[in-house]
This record gives sequence, structure tokens and C-alpha cells, in this order.
Amino acid sequence: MDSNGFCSPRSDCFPAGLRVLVVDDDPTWLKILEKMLKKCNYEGFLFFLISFNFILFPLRFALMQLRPVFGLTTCNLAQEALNRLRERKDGFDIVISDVNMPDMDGFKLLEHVGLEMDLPVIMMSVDGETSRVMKGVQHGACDYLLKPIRMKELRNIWQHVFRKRIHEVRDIEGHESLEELQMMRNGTEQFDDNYLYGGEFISGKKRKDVDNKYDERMCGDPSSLKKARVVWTVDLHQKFVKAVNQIGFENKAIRYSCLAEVGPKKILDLMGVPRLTRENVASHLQKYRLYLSRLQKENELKATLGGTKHSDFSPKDSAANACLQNPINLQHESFTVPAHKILVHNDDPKICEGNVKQSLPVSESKKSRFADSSDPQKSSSSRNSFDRSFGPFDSDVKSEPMMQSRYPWSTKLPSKQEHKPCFQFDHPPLPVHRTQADSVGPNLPHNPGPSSIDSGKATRARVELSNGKSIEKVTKVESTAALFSFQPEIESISSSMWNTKNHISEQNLFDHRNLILGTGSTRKLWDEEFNSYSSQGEFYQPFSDLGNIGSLGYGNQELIADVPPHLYDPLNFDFEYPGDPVEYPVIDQGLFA
Amino acid sequence: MQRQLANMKQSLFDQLEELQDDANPNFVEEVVTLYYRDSARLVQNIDKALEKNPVDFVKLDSYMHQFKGSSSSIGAKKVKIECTQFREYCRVGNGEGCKKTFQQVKREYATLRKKLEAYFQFARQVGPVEKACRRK
Repeated sequence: MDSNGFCSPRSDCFPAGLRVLVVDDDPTWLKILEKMLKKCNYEGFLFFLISFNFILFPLRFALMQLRPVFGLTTCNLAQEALNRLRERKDGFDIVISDVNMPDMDGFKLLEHVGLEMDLPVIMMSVDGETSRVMKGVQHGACDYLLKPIRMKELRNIWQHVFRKRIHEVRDIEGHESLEELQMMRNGTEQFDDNYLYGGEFISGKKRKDVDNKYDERMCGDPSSLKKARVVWTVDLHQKFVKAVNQIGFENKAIRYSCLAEVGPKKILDLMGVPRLTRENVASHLQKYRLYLSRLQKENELKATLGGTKHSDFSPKDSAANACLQNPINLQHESFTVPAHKILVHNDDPKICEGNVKQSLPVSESKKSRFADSSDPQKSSSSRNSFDRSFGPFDSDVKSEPMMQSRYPWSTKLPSKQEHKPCFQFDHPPLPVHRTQADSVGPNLPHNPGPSSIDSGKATRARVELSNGKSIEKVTKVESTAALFSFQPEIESISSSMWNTKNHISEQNLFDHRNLILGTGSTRKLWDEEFNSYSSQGEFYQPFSDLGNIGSLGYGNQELIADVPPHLYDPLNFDFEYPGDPVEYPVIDQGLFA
Repeated sequence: MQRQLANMKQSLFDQLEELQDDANPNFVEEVVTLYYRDSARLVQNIDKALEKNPVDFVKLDSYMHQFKGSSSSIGAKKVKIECTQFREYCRVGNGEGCKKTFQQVKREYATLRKKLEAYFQFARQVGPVEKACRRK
């Protein structure tokens, strides 16, 4: 039969030609079933009878009789039956199996077949007890027949095949569509921001495509198997990927916008699969692109960040430089990850820009703003500063985050000498990052060291302690939140704590950045960013981390007071970005409470 | 004689006959033969298991299950009933009851065999014409 990845469209008369695999240990039953199935016009197709009878002689006798009629395969083990099924993945449409078999439980076989091959399985047994039937259904049997099996019962087994096929198609299409919709909604926004597209237009267009696809599918005639619904099996997808690569997939990796070069028509031709339509390929291509862009972004971020990580630990200058450099890299990456769940779509492009352009000057000005609030005060004051910082940030969410995110780093150098906090900030993060990468323990020690701010020490210790315990539990959010809420000292502490918890030294920084940027990319990116302090350009999911921050429940607020203004900025921005609605409350508690 | 056989026959047996066609003129006979081969083995196993001490009821039950299944394939109702009884005894662990019931099973089994053999002999004698009539 059709060995493509398609839902094998059979001949027009659907039930005819159904390929059945019968598994039973009773040769008598095998023979009868075989005959019955033949009579149902399930003939002309492969019909494997597997007998588990462990007496070879009578079996051989029986098989010899059947051999001329069917391509009969015998195996004494259910395992062998499974192997045969695996060999010919699309060689069968349905499996009928007995429940009681010597070497393998019928239910187990059922599970295996269902999982691996996703074929409908019908159980049969002499025993028709309700509990047994229930067990069969629980294990995923499509039907449970009682022996002796009537001819009419066999006549209808095709319904299971048909039903499954319909559901499969719908599921695949449904999931894909939904996924696609989501991705597109997230991604298109991102795109819009990044590429300054007519966001609405594109989003609308993409959504329309998805809707069209839905319509296409829904309007399709499900009852007619003639209209082959494409199921993107692994094989088919492999062909697709090959074709795409041939055409020039590299472009895709670099720029999402270049995907247009890879046309569905070309792919279709290259694939050379009959019955595959251009629309099928186009829709699949769309999904594939999103997936790739997401991967690409992750990889890029990882690469960039990984390189800059170490620089963080070096002198502040280098760290600062790294930060500066990273943002640029990150920006690239952020752009290439349109499909990411972007928490802060709108801000990203601006942030990136801001990062690049507004470095010190902006940060300086902002710094001054924050300087007011940076007095070592109680949490309330720090909160105020936060609020203040949030205020301006709120308005300029897009641009500020960038600047703010930059602050810590950009201001690092200049403020190093003047501000202890600044210095602290630079310093602690670095070691923190380092330690973060390590386990919880190492991180903590680092914190107290670099930070010289007394005010933060106490809290630091406290935080450390608390963090130490919950390091494992602290998520990135926390670390990022901690970063935000903490002043440089705090940051170091929190970062260290965070890091240890998250085992991501860069996380704090990254989370910071990510928060600022409000990108919804993966945490990995965040971490990378942090290391390189270039999270500005990145769009990560700070929010998830923010949630953690709240959970940490630090006296972050107290520490906040010590946190230099620029530190606040990132925090503020992060909060601005609605990465996760749930996260917000947490953050608020921690920071703004 | 046909009537006797007919009484013995179950609707399933008829169904088995229906399966028989020109391509497989001796289908029923083949099936029954298969059945006897397989069930003979099972009966042997059950006998052996029953003789053991202590009686392994789990094994007995599985054997009987198989036997029951086979018997149902040719529509041997009486044998099947006895098998069910046997399994009941197995479940409660009544070794004596099992043995007794199994005697019953064997008796029914033997009867069935005899009758089927006679049936087939008769069928062969009568020939295809009779078969056609019977199908009606």
C-alpha cells in the first residue's frame, strides 16, 4: 500500500483492502478469523497472522495450509509481532489481538502498538467480564470483542480505522493550527516590532491564513478518504526539510524575513511527493519557519552569551564592554527570535535601539534620577525610587528598558570609581554570575565579598541564607527579580543566590536584562544575557523570574534602597513588561509592596 | 442423524459453515481438525496439572481459558459450559471440584468429537448437494 507519510488513501471502497494484523495464540481462531476477514473483503492485502502457539508441529501444519493464501508470518512471541509491526509502520491499518497470550499480555501489546504505531487495536477474548473489558478500554483498545466472534462484528472494524484517521487529522491540524496561531500572534507582534512591519496588517494576515487553513480543513470532506489529508509524518517531514535545505535554508536562519525566498512551490517540486499540495507545503513551511527561528534565536543567544560570560568575571571594564557588546549581539538574536513567546513585544525593538544608542549619556541622566532614590533608605524609600523609576519607565517602557538595562553596565565604568554601588554592581554580578554557574554554595560567599556596602550586608546575609536554602527552588525569575530589587550589593547577593538557585550565574543579569527587554525568549537567553550584560537586546522571559522574585520575599525592598538607580531601572522595566501576569503580582509584592 | 448433528451444531457452527466456500471446501473440517489438535494438547496439560500436588490453579485457569476459547471457536457450547464451571472451581481453589468438572469437560469433549467426526463423515458421504440444502 501507500508507504508515503500520507494517510494512505486507499481505493475508493474504503473498508476493502483494510490491512489487518491478527494476533492470537490459538491457531483455530486464527484460521477462523482469517477466513472471516477475507470474507469481509479485507482481502488482497497483507494479512499477517501471528500465532503464539508454542507447539510447532500443529502450528506448522496449520500455517502450511494458510500460506498459499496469505503472506503468513508466524512468530511465537508477541515481541516478534511487535517487531514486525515496527518494521512495516504503515503496513497495517488495524490490529486485532487476543487478550491472553503466553509470552506477552495482550494489554501490553495493545499499549505498545498504540504508542508506537498509533494503530487502532481491537481486543478479543472469551472472557467478557466487565472488568476485563474496562481494562481493555483503559489500555486504549478501540473495541473489545467477545469470542466467538461473529462475522458481522468483523465487518465493522473498519470504523475504528476510519475514526482514528479522522481524529488524527483533526488533531494534527487542530494542534498545529492553534500552535501556529499562538506563535503567529506572538511572533507577528515581534516581527512587527523588529521589522517595523505593519504589525496589524501582518498579524491579521497571518491569522487569516490560519483561519483559512482551519476553514480548509473543516470544510474538507472528512468522510471522503479520497481527499487525502496530509499527515506530516516523520518521513514526510524529513523530505520537507531536505527540500527546504536544498533551496537555501540558510537564509532562514539568519533572517526570518528571508523566508520568502523559500517558496512552497519549490519545496513541493523538490519533495516530489504525489498528492501533496502547495497549500500543505505552505502551511507546513510556516510552522517550520517559526520553529526554526525559535531555535535559531536560542542558539545565537547561547553562542553570544557564552562568549561573553567569562568576560564578566574579569575586571569591570571588560564586563562593561562585554555588556555593551552583548547587547548588540543580543539585539540580533532578539530579532531573530520572533517566534518566541515574547513577553514584551513592543519594547524589544526599541530597547535594542536604545541599548545601542543610548548608553552612557542616557544612563547618566537616568542615573541621576535614580540617585535621588538611591539613598540607603528603608524599603519604602527604595520602593519610592522604584516607583519613581517605574514611573518614567512606564511611560517609556520601550526606550527606558534599554537604557536602564544599560545602566548597570554602561554606568559601570564611569561610576565605578565614584559610586560604590555602581562598582558593587559591576562587581558582584560578575562574581555572582560565576558563582551562579556553580552551585549554591560558592555563590553565596562571593556576594559578601565584593559588595562593600554595609547596608546591604545584613540583608545580603539574610538573603543569602534564605536563598541558600531555597536556592534550588529559586527560579530565574527570582534571580532576576532579586537583581532588580537589589542594589548592586543586593544584586550580587541575590544574583549569587539566584544563580545558585538557578544554577545560572548569568541568570541574574540576564534575567534583569530580559525583564527589561521583556522578551519572552527562553531563560537560556536570559542567562546568557546576564553574563554578557547584554540582555538589553534580548527578549527573554523575565516574568517567570519575576514571579520567583516575589517568592523570595526578600527584604529586597530594603536592599532596594541601596540599589543604585540604574539597578532599579532594569527592574522597573522588567516589571513593565507583562511577561507573565502571574509574575507581576509576585514582583509587586517583593518590590513594590 | 442430521438432526442429531443439527442439535449439536450451534449457530456458530453454521457460521463456520458459511465461511466455507468453493475456495475452501473443507474449511469447517480444517478448522475442527485444528481445534482438535490444539485442544488435545490442552487437555493433556490440564490433566497433568491436575495430577500435580499441590494443584497450580493459576496455570489450570489459564489452560482452561485457552481451551474454552478454542471450543467457542467452533461453537462447542456444552464443552464451553463445562469449562466455565471448571474455572469457577479453579478460582475458589477447589481441587476436587476441578477434577470432577474436568471429567465432565472431557466427557463433553469426547462426545463432541464423536459427533463431529460423524458429521463430517456424513457430510462427505452426502456431498456438496446436501451442504447446499443445509445452508438454507
